[in-house]
Amino acid sequence: MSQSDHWKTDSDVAVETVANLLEKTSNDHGAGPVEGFHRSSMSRRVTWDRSTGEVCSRTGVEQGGAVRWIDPRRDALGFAAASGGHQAAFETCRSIAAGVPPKPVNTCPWNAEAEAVEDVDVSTGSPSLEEMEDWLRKNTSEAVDSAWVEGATSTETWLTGAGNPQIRVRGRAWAMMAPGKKAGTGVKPLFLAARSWHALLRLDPSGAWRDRAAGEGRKRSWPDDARVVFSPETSAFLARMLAATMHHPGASPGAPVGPGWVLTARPEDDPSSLFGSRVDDAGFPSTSRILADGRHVTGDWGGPGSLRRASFRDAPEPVPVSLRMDPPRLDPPKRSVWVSRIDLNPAGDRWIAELHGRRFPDGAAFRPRWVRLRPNRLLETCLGGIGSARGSHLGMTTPALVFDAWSLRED
Amino acid sequence: MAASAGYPGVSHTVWAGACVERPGRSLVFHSALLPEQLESLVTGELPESGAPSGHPELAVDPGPAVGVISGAIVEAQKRLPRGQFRARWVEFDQQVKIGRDGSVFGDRRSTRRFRLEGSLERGGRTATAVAERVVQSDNNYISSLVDETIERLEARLDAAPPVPGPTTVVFAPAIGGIWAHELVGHAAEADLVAQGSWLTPDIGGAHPGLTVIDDPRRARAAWNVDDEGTPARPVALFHEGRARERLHSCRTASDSGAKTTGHGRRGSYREPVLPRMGCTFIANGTDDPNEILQKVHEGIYVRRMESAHTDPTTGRAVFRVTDADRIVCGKLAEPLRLHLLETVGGKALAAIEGIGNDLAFDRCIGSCHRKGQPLSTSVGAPTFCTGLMTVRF
Repeated sequence: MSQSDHWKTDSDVAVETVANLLEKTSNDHGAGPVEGFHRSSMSRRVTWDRSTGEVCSRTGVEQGGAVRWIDPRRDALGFAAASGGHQAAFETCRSIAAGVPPKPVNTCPWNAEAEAVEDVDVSTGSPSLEEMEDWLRKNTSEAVDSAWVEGATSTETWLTGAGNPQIRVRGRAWAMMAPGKKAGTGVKPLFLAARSWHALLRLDPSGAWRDRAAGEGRKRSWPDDARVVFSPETSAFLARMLAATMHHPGASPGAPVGPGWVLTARPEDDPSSLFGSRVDDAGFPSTSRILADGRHVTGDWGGPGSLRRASFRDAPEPVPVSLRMDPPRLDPPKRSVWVSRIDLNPAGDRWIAELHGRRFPDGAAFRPRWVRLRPNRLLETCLGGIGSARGSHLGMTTPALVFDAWSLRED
Repeated sequence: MAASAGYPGVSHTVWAGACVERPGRSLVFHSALLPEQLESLVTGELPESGAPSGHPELAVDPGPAVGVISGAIVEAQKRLPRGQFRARWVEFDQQVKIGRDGSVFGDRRSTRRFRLEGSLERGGRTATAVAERVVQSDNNYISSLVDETIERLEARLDAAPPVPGPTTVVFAPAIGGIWAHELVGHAAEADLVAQGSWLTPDIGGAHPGLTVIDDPRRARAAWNVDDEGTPARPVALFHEGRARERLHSCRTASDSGAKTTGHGRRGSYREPVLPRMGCTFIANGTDDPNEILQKVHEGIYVRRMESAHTDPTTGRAVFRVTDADRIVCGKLAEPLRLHLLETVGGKALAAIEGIGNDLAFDRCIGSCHRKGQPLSTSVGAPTFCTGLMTVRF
């Protein structure tokens, strides 16, 4: 863990750089509030490929900055970004920003009396190449054709014209395992993510591979009257899609949900969440909100505290991350279908879905089932969860979710 | 760049970076480099920090684009006051330099694309429609773009559900190139071939008139030299019923004893080279497009697909159809709601029933994602007809 430390941007330097930028940009735009953002990251990835037997490394540094500013005459926002970690890059930003028209916005804490925040993840630090190669050796079973593991650290700094710098330092670890033919056809890659390298070491991918198994023997017809249990991995995907659709900003509260649909947005520093932090990517304080209580939809995930930047190149937008499902726990149903894979294609108010499942608990395989799902019906028919909640790379923490058989029935 | 509700918004980004790759061993990248930092990058070390050398001179001027998208929305709104319209302009200008074996190669890639989206609600019915153009030097396309969007909006208010199950499909000119991209193109990317592609040279039963070519020089974001410094050239992937050449990077060509084809591309300076498609198209056939349609008793006429995915090992491919009409007795009937079409490689090649002589190239904003690397790609095709596709709805 040596080279990454060298590349962490010194917080004082970053704050000074952004402050210089803001001073000049403010002069260009009169009294309009301006925000500067800077991000510096160092990442290291090791890749393994079964067909060649090669182990390759990828190491790099990326730095960039962005400015947003308000046009007070139009109550509108402009945004520009440039790579590079120093004043010259911000000068490029500033010259672009001065020449482009702004768009409306109501989500900047320009005048907020925000406190200066220093949000430093104590577990930052990237693993060495040897540690990552060792991880790959231990975790690539016969079902895996290729894989990578990555460690990254980042330092992010915000500063508005009002001052109050906010600094965030993070370390994250990711892994991907692409299945080969022995895993079955159509099986998607498995992604793992953790808040630190040491947390990634504690994850056991073998459980996820077992969850994804298609089942053995002759393919049977899917029973219409059995409860449906989604594996933790497919539950995370499905619940995040449902949250994006049914709890989007502006969604009206009050819609009925089943007893299992208990959803909370926990953008604050939740140890189980990959994306948690004390402030969002626009500088708003993060606060927990209950989005559904097992009876009704009670809220949405948008607004201040939910804004995220995909990279320094992108302006912050509301994103449903750091969500947690806390349904009442159920005993495994005696007669149910265990869904190991789901493909969803939104089509108007329904989703065209392909489901792969097996009989629970004996594992007998069912034929893939195509079905048109109604998101609101899925919410209404969510009964509970099985097992402990697991985090995922999608920002959704959930156990295996149980749905009534009616959830898949078409009108 | 995007606009809605009459307020243009611009997101303008400039970035620069470099990498040194030793294929099969390592890749080191760094954003916004000083020239002297390149030296340490070449040795495989991350360079010491320092001020960047600045960015290349900008060729993208957002000013005119703002006028174009605002004008298009105003015209559409005037023509259809109850419609809601959004426009998106994407423009990039990229300079690339590649050093290899003591020589330096360069390329410049740029494109401008414009997309107009509309939605309409009337009498409890709703419709959406999209029209796109690759922008040339003038603005004469705006009226036709607005015409196209409004015509499809009005038509799609009456969209009916398709009947799930097997069907015959006629692809409108250009759009069928996505079929070729997914089924033939991905199965011919040499790194995927090495892992076991369904498209083997001895595959039989295909339509004898089917020719699929990839030529990066005519893509929307065309390249003349790939990201390894190899000049790009057209490659016949499928011809006279047989799989022919593969798409190669230097590495895959070396591994398989083939000649490189100029298809080695990176999603960015942070990524390793992969063999990728540029512009994949089906060559003109000999059939009259009208006769192709007239021969179909019952089927689907596909106007627009927005995404697709494939498994190159099995050839299974699924396409998301966002605009299509039902075909009844050789004529176009009512529009169909969004649905999926599924097919499998070998059967798909054998099921082609006619290839028209009206080759056209796509106009959409889109890209191909592989191994986490997005890349702007193009497709083209004449009108063609294929059986044995399955509607999923």
